[in-house]
Amino acid sequence: MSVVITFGSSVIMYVIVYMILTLGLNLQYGFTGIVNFTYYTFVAVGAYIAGVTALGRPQPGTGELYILGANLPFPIPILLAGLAAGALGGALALVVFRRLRSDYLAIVTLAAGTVALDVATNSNSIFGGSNGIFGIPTPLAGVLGVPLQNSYMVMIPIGLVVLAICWWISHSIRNSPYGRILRSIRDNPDVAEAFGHRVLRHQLVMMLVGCFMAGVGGALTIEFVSAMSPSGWQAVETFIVWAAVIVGGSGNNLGAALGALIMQGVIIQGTLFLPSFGNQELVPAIRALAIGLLVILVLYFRPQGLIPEKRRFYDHLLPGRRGEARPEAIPTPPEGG
Amino acid sequence: MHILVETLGFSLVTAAILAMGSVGLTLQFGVTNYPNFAFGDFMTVGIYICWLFAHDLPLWLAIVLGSLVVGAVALLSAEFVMGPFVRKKSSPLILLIVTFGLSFIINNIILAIWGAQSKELPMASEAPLHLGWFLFTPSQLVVIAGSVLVMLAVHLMLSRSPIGKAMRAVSDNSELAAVSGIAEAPIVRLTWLLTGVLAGLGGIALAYSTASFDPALGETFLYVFFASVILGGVGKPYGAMLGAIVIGLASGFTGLVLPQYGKDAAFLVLIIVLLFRPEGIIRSAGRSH
Repeated sequence: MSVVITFGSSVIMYVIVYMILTLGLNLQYGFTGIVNFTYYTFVAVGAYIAGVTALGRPQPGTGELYILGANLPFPIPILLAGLAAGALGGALALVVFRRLRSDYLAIVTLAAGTVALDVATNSNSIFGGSNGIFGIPTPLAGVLGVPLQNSYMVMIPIGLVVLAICWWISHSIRNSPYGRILRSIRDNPDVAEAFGHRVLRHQLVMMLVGCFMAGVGGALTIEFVSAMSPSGWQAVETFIVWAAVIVGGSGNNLGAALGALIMQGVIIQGTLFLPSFGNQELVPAIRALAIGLLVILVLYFRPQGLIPEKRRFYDHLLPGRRGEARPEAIPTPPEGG
Repeated sequence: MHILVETLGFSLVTAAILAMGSVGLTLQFGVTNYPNFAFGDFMTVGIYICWLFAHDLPLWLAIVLGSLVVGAVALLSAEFVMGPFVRKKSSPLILLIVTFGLSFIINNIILAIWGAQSKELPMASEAPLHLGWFLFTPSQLVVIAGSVLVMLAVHLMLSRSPIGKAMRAVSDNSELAAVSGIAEAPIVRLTWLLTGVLAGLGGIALAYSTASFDPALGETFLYVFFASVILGGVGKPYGAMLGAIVIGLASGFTGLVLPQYGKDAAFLVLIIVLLFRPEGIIRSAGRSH
């Protein structure tokens, strides 16, 4: 029985964290059209920062190495994680975005992620090199007297609170005039620019906010599973978050959350009990294959995702709504003038 | 002084490998107008097929077979995975996500069949040759010579053959090409076949230079190839050759100072190019905006 509770609650925790991650990516891709192909790098940055600020100084003699070791109490590591990831995302945007076409953005972010992975793996003294960092304590566990194996009792409520805050942020942005500007950038950045919106600045802000959520999600992950290493944030992880947003439905919170539920709750955690056969990587590889196929099929047959974004129309604000003659359509000028 | 010349030689080998892959990558990017994020996995397929045959067949035959299989994989993916989206007139953004998904699928097929542990291509131990101050192993010389031959073949095809000219026309402006009577579909198919074969050749050469390989090898180096493509300007094969040389030199000499970060120099070059000359080192209409 206790095994069922432990497993069930860890699935719930993973789904909560994943919903935070999909909300963040949805802000970038679904709302603003930013192609961030290294989203999970920011999750990792958040996890590492939360880890090294929650841990004490590395013990000499254990061979463990990492920066900081500040031993800060909850919830400061989670906030610092979000800030660090957000700042890094903003810095990347500041240096390379420059109103690039989306395909160039994809290439640059992918490259940045590969380099970040190289740096984290090769320099042992920053985040423990290829071994990563481990032994991160559960927040408040000491205060509340919760045993280690029951860390979900603390983490699920914390996760729910963070998720609620992220949901509210995302919801508010979407339903504000600012959200409308973002959608105009997504649908046509040139037109948005022509109307006087600073595309680069808004993309930068969404990199900040979205990566903040990624960092916070990473912090919750490391406080729950207590370790992080470079093998945990390869490029494939980014694709799975993308898959969740696309399958669930980009551009709206419900779709992103549904995608997180399907991807983590059903496809990843739900198949953990499948018997292993063939070589060691066979079952995970088939699962990943299914995710890849699912994304391509959804993009073809239902590109808006399972829960489509609600389109809003504003033509009731235009003159000519109530029986009056509509203004003549402006003739389109011939191409190439 | 010796070490600098040796590094120069090593950089040339890297440039030769990069040139083969990035010429294929840039041709396809230019002709189809969306980047192929499965290119790294195309390279990996080539490596595994070559490895599969290299134990029983002569090496040259294994390399040819490996490259042809990648050509077929590229052709089939373009036809049955990207094709439906192209026919639906999906945006380049959707298409690039599709290629990202394709990369994920191909990579996991390789994982499912051959597992994650790293493997080695059969390699005879060979004594390095001294050419002046340069120091090359015979297989490195073969890579350089092979790359030069491939570049020459690509050059002749693009500049002399009607197919190559049509390819350049579609890449420059597909509507104008269509108006002047060039059928786009066969040209696009041929481009995919070519990019596949070049991915195979580049991948196999890459696996020889890294000694061992695993399913992630192609993906790990993908952005280095993209860096040469963007440096040279998208859709410009000669630019990509030049880009390959610059990236090869940059990573060679970075590796001299920071051994583990050789290929990361490509990222630095990429950022500098995007900041100051997003259209690439060979000037024409800006395509990055």
